[in-house]
Amino acid sequence: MEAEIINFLFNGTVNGAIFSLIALGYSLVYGVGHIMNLAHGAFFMLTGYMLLWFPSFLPEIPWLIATIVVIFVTIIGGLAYIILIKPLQDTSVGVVLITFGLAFFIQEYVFVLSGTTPYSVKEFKIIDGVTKIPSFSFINQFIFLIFASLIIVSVFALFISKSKLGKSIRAVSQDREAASLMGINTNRVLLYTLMISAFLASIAAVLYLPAAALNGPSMGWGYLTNSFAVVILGGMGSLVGSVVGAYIVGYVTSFTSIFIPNGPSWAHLVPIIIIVIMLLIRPQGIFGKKELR
Amino acid sequence: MVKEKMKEKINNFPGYLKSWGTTFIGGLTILCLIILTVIPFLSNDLKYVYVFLPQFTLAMIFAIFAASWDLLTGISGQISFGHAIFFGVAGYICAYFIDYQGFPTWVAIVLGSLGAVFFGLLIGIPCLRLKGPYLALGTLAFSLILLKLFLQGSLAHIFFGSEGISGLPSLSDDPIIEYFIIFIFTIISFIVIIQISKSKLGTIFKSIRDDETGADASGINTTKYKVIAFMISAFFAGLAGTFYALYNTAVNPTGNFGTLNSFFAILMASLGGLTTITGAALGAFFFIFLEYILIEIGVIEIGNLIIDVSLWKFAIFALILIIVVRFAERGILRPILEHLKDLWDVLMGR
Repeated sequence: MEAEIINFLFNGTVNGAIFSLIALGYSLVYGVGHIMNLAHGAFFMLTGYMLLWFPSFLPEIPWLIATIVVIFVTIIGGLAYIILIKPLQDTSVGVVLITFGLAFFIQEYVFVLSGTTPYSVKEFKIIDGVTKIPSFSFINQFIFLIFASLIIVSVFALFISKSKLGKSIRAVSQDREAASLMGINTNRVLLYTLMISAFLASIAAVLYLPAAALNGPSMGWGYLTNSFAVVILGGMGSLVGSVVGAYIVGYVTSFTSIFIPNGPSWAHLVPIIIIVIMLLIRPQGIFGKKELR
Repeated sequence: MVKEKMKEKINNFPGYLKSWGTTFIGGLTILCLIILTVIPFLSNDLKYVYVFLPQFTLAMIFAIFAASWDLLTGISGQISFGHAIFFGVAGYICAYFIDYQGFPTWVAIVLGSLGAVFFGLLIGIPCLRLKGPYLALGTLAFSLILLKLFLQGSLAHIFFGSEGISGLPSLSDDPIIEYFIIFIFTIISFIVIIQISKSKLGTIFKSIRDDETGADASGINTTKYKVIAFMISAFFAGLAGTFYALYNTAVNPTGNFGTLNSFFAILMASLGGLTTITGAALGAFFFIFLEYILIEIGVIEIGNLIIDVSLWKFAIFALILIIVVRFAERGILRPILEHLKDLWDVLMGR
């Protein structure tokens, strides 16, 4: 029993750490530009597969490869905004359709190159091995992930509240027209926002996937669903809400898969149950103020 | 009054049909129908009957499916990215009743479609609190989670696991008869969907799409009509799903529930253009035959480079979707028809 409780707490924290990184970027893009980016999960998945592909033609220095991959995915995020999303951002249907198409394209591209076999990218672990505290063993990479995630989230919060770009991001998210009248280039702010969002997703993948596995090209959708549940729970566009929501979803998922019979199967249902319950009782989310639009 | 109008319409039916047939759209439709009627009898070749002809059957099944998506998204403005739910659920219900309960095929088809309607209601009620892109993601989440539930984990065996149900009877052993059964159902479905979109109900759907607050203020119970739109669309998606199950004579989670099916509906309807129900048929035929051609081409060699084209097919489809949405928001059907009509008018000397 004791082992299960500790297991539940640890897994829940790991889930929360990873979901908060992914959902933060997703929520940011929605909050600032009302852009529903369905390719967000695909960015996460693509990072994992790039870690798999790049060692074949780059010098085998893990941190260098990881940095290059993160930069690559960030640039792809920026390009996706410039080429695909920007011309269509007035029609919400268009943005959703085109990011869905992009997500599918990335998925099928990965499928052609790597198929559906699971792969491991464990050589990118930053800290190897396990820590044993009397009878429990924790994977070191996950411990690192928890702290790294907390640090990144704090730095991000500082960046949003203090830096000039952060201030313009907040201005655009509050009132786009007024922001552009104040001399803020809203399109450029949105571009940076999308790049930050892709950057956070790919950092999350670099930290998490080496200790887990690449489960085929369609794994991005699962993370997209989870981040959707997180932002519905926390409130769309609310950054505090995303982090709190991420940890709640993380703990609930972990609780379900450990304590409930047939747990791992029910754990798949957690996001949708959270979405449905939240929509029925408080559609604007825990920290949302505005009415859901 | 309505009865008299109907009577008048029925009495004038041949004349009405004649005048419709001479209009450009009517003529084109009749031409397409004639071509589709003649196609099965063009050749007796085994490959033609057993490989090429079923592609038409498949295209028509997906045409119904894509049209049902267009009714929900194009006409009613409720973006659904989880249409595979209805498609898959109906297929599974149909397969279950045939294989495990010994029901006749037609009863199972009706039960499957009604099951999809029930799911439309079930998913419609919570999801309709969502608007626009949220709804898209909500329905997508639903379909992804259903797929996971059916595919893996300890609950999957209740739902027949990743193997699904196989050994279903097909609609008919003769591909030509199967073709005509689906053909008739496709025509009926299209007539019903187009009539719905032109009827008072369709006008209400369009008013909700264009201005929901305005529709609400004019005394339309928007929630009720949105649920109705979901249910009607689910019915046709379910019908297509049961036909698809019987066409493959098997159901399995990835084949029937996969995101790929939702993607197909979106792809086909967007290629033809949203809100043109017939565009869905054009898209369905285009993509099913593109897939067929790509599989037929198979491996090509350019110098040292060996490319298996059939592996790339969905990547190519996704690229087409991106290009169509990015550069041709109205789809390609209407612009093509307009150009053809201009040509027609010139030829007729108008």
